[in-house]
Amino acid sequence: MRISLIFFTLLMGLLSLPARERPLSFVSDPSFMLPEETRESLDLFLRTRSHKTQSEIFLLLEPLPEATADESKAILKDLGHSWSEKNWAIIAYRPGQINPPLIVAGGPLFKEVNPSAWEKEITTLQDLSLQSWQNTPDIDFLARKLSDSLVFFSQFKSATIQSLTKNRNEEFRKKYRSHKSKKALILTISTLSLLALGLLCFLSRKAYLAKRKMFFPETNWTSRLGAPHSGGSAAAQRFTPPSE
Amino acid sequence: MSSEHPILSSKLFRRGVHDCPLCATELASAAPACSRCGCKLEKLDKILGLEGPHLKAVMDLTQLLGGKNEAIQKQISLIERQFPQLALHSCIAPCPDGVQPTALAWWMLNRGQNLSHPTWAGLLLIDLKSSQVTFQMGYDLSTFINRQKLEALLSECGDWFSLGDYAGGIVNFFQEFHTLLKRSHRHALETEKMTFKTLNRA
Repeated sequence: MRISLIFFTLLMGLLSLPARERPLSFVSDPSFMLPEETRESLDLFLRTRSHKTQSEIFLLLEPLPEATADESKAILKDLGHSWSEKNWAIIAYRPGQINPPLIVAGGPLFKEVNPSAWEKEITTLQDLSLQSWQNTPDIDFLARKLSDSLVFFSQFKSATIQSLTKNRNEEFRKKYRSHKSKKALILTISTLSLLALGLLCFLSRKAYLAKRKMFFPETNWTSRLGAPHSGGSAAAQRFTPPSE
Repeated sequence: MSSEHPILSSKLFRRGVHDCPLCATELASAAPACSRCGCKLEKLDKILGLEGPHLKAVMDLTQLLGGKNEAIQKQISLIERQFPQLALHSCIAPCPDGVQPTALAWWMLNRGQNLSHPTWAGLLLIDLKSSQVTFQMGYDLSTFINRQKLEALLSECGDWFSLGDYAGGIVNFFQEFHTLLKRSHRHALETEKMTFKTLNRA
């Protein structure tokens, strides 16, 4: 009777979790593990992401019912599906837990995404979150990075690591090319402007010189041979007459 | 005038070379007659008369230009617009017997009517009888023009005439003369400037 009562309680405990309604805040932290400022900032960040992208991250910082990792994952998966129709991820962590936080994700994206790529990403993020001076994982960092990864993966559906890298390389090349072409455009425009300016200066100078009146300086002369205007300063040349 | 010191300038530019129009002997300053042949304007007046012709930009007494006067007129106007002191003329005429083209040009420039700036005038005379082309200049203009360069221009002009293109030759002459004027003008101003600088330093 006692055993059946304990079993019943455990079963109810397990069943009670999927029946939970979607939390109002993206950060459920009843034991105040996170500082208030961090919690609010993180909640705001996740809320903004939820509005702007097709991804939602839920953070559960509370004790989970005693179960194996696979059972817990199944429970969290059910919860996620009942909470969100978008791409979602739940980070579950019991304060004081030695293991890294449990991460479960789902949504339309995961029908197409390469699961091995996603798992590698999760593992990397979990490891990174533990690289802290404190004994607890950096939950804030983990949530933000997980949100970034979810957005990134949703942008590149059904991607493998190689194709992701390829896409990023192509994107970088495109950016580089556009940056380079912009530079070339600026250079061309400035060169043409300089040439046009030079041409304008040249033409205006030519026009000015053509219109400018020139005066010779005053001279002093004495008349010769009784001539009033010209004293016989001349040049002469003979030419061959044209043949008829 | 462009000069800031007209008196100094007038003393500076007094180096025109003058030859006798008949025997080409170089004349001394203020010579009343040629020391070699005794030539003076009055002698020519006796042959050619006291009153010269009305000088125009283009005078074609032989009708050789064939209606191409406008191109010459245009080129002369262009020069006169840029150098308002100058008055340029061109003439194709047969010289009277016993008169050299240089002498006729000299007489025309001195006795010519209707001259706006007589001492700044220039006359290009083409004599078909002797196949000779002459450019005669007034006292002021001759001060600034290099005679050797002028002779080179006339020689080039003669090449055109040899081909029978008189209008082309005259237009080409005035085009080159325009360039020569610009150079001479720049040179004159530079000389003037340098001289004043030296004088101011002294």
